[in-house]
Amino acid sequence: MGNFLNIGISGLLSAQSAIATTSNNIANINTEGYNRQIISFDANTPNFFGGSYIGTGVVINNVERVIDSLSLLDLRSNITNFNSLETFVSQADRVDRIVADPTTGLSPAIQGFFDSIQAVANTPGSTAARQSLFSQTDLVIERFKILDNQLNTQRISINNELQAVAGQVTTLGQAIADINRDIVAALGASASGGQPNDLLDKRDQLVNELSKLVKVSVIEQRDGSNSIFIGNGQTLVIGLQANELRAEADPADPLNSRLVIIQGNQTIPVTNQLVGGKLGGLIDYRNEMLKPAINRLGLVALGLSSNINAQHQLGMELNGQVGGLFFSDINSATSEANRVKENVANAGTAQVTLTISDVDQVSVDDYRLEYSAGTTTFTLINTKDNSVVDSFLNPGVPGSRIVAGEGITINFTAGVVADGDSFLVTPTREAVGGLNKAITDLTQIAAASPMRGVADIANTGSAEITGTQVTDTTNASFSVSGSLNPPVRIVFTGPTTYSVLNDTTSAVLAAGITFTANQENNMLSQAGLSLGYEIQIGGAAVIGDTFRSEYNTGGIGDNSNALAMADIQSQKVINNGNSTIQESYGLLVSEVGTRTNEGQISLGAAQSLLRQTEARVQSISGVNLDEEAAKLIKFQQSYQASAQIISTATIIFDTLIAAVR
Amino acid sequence: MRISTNQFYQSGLNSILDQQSGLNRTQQQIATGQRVQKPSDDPIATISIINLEQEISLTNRYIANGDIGTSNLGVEETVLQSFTDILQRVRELILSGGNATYGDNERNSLAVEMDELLSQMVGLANQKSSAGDYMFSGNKINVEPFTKTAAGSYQYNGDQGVRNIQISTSTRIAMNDSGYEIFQNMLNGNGDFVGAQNLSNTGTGVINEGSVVDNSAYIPDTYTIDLVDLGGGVLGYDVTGATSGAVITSATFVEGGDIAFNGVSFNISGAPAIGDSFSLTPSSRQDIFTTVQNALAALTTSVSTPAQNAQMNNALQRALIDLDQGMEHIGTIHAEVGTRLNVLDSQKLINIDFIINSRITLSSVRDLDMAEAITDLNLRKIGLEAAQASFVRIQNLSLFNFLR
Repeated sequence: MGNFLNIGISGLLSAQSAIATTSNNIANINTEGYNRQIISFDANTPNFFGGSYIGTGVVINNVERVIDSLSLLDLRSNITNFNSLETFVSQADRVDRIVADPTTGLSPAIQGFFDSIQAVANTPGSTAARQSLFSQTDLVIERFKILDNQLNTQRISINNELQAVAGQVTTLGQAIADINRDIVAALGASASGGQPNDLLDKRDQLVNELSKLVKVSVIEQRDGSNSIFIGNGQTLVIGLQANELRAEADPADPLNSRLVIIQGNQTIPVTNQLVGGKLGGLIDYRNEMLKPAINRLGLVALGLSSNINAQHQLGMELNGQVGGLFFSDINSATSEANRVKENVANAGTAQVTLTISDVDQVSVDDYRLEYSAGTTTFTLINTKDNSVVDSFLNPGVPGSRIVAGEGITINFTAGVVADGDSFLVTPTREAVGGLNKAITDLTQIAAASPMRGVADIANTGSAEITGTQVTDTTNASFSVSGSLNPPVRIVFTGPTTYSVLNDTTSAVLAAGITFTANQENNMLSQAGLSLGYEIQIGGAAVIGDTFRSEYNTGGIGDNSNALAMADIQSQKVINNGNSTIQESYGLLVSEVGTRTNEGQISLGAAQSLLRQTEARVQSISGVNLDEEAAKLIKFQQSYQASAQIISTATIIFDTLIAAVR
Repeated sequence: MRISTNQFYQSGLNSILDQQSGLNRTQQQIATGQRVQKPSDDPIATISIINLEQEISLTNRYIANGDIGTSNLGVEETVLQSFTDILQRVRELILSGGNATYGDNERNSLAVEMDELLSQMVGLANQKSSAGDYMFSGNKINVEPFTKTAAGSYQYNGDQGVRNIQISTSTRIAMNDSGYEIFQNMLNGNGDFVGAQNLSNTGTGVINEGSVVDNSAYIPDTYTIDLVDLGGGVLGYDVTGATSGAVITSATFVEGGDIAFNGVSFNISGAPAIGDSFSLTPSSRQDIFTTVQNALAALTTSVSTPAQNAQMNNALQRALIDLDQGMEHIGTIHAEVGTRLNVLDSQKLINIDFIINSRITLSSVRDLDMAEAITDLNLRKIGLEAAQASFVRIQNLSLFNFLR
């Protein structure tokens, strides 16, 4: 009799536990990371009585989380992937919106700039046209700077974000280590092997949180603790011990943060190992979009300023001087020094600068210059793919190295280089920062050419000057302000021969040169003269016909140099002669657009994968209220039935008492 | 399949959110009328859009350049027309000057008119553009092109520069001509040589324009034609070249008869006297003002003897020949200006055409198909409403509702 009272009590207790478990499921329906729990029962050990085994009630076997570890793994990898792409796309979106926007994009500004050069060409003497070129120049510089600023602000915010996310990773790692300790303790205390479900849920949830930030791999240890490795196997948590992840200025490139893991006394750089999650997304974005975009913009700026400058310097200002710099010099001492950053850890004192020798050849890549004392060799490595671009013996100080095919010259200006020293070489990164207007006065716009050709009025032949070009104003011809040094005179000594004379002294510079009638003759190069300009004569000459070159004094209506400057718009002057200035900017837009577009498409796929896995995990581990309601009814009935057993026991007991009374 | 309650709500919510973001995007496209809002919407189309916008803008610039050219050349054409009209009148005056019945007085009154015309010519050559620049001083636009020297001739102060304008990617066209080109760069005489009488001639011979009849035989040289007595009162002539030496000796002179040698042919009319001489010199550049001044000088010279009359006729004859050369030269430039204006016109049409076509392409690349977009908007709206309605309908389904 006592027997079935006990059975009733065991039923009552187990129904209570079952109701508690169900209630717990219902109560935790909105708890993030909660996995539904189910209770399982075993029949109690039966008593052997009278040749039979009589059951002795029920005992709780276990309260378990319902999880599928494979789905959980899937979920984590999808969380990592989704967050990586989401971070990438949200960063990329910011650039995507500005590069082609009519109010911030560069394309209309460059167009406006060349447009106003043509306006100057139409009316070279007009102050209004020159004023408009002035404002368009300011505008195009401003647009460059706005874009560059936006990109650099993003670079700084990525540095900050890396720091914040690294902090979160450290905090989560610490929390996981702490919860490892609790779990190990709980498992040790529970002799029956019951699982600390809620702690496990909590830890899984923390690992999921960590998966949002970086790719995570988990190794279950024998004592129940989890070791956590991030990225490509970098140790964050081992058992109860957590390491710190930190963002700090990169010694090789102080403008961009790197990530390090602090393990005891060791600082291990792990930037390139950290893939996936927000960190991976940020690093991918920085490497694949932001740095190339900043460099591309710099290259466009270099292309515009160096080409316009070169042509402008072949012109003549309104005040009769040979044209000066239009934009600031791309190879100013400051710019040259800014392009090379020595590694903070360098032992040597070498000072290195970089000259852009041919913008057409310059790429958007960055380079690393490394020195090996053993072989006294410098090696220049492209940081994009770590390919060796150039390798050369230490040229000493002062010395320089022209890097073939890259359009750059490395200068070693001072100091001594030590073994293992390295330098970051960024030809284009800071170009926009150095872009400024060099001309200060409207009259300095060199729309005219500094020389002109003159046909002598006494000529009787039909020969005519068909064109003149200025090719080099650093030539001695232009060494005297306001005149040619010397002006030359081309005198025909026959219909097919001519001499070139110094027009001031009448000294013969070249004689007996052959002239081909009725086609264009390059009179000076045919005569083997290099005067920094060229005169073309065509038609049929008569003996004695004379042509002169003279300084273009007073030629303020001349627009030939402005036309040549305007021509730069359609010339392929960037990318080894493959792109115009605007096309080069177009490349930036298309790179940004394509990568963002790819990111968005991948993000869409990652999102639906994530939703599917979430659904799978939820369908296994999530709480269903209807299910719990049904269980509640069921367990309530079990409870009532068990209570009935006790009531029955009471009646039987009462009956027995009454019988013996 | 088992489904958790949270999942049940979440998937309902997700479908509403998805519909909303799609609806938002379509709505934005409709509001701006543009399918491509940022490069990532369609990277390839974005590049086409940038290129097309750039080409349209550049072509608009070419049209503006061309308009400036048209207006400049239009003014130049008007000036050249007035100039030609004046030269026509000068020509008439020179012809009148040759009228045998005119005396000094009549010629002087012709000269007064011609002098007036000359100053009009100089005025036109020194014309300023609306911008205040001299039109005909080449690139020295601040310098008055023609000024009178102390010696009384007109000197050119400009240069030979020409301003080009860009009217298409590959075409440049001159928007001006220098004063040198228009008023100075012309040969006198018949373009090959100038026939002139010796100023001390006593006969009444007048040399005509002449011409080169055989270019291959023509040797440019200064030739002197001396009239000599062949004996017996027969008038003859010798021709000597300054470098060619004796060319013809002792041919019989026939009044108005062809004198031909070394590829040239000309005649001398009237009655030259023995000892008179004429010369042929290779043509050289002579400005139009000098030509008119020469005619003026001839008209204002007092004539009292037949020899003086012949001198005057010779001078007028030469001025007429030079003037015709000048008029032909200016006529050529006038025609060239007309051609350039035609090129500008047709290039403008081409440019406008190009812009229209580019706009059409731009629109097809960038702009939204409104009908499609609005249909899309309606579909999405229906989708969103359905998602919302079904969400509300099913959220009341719970077993707990029945546990009372």
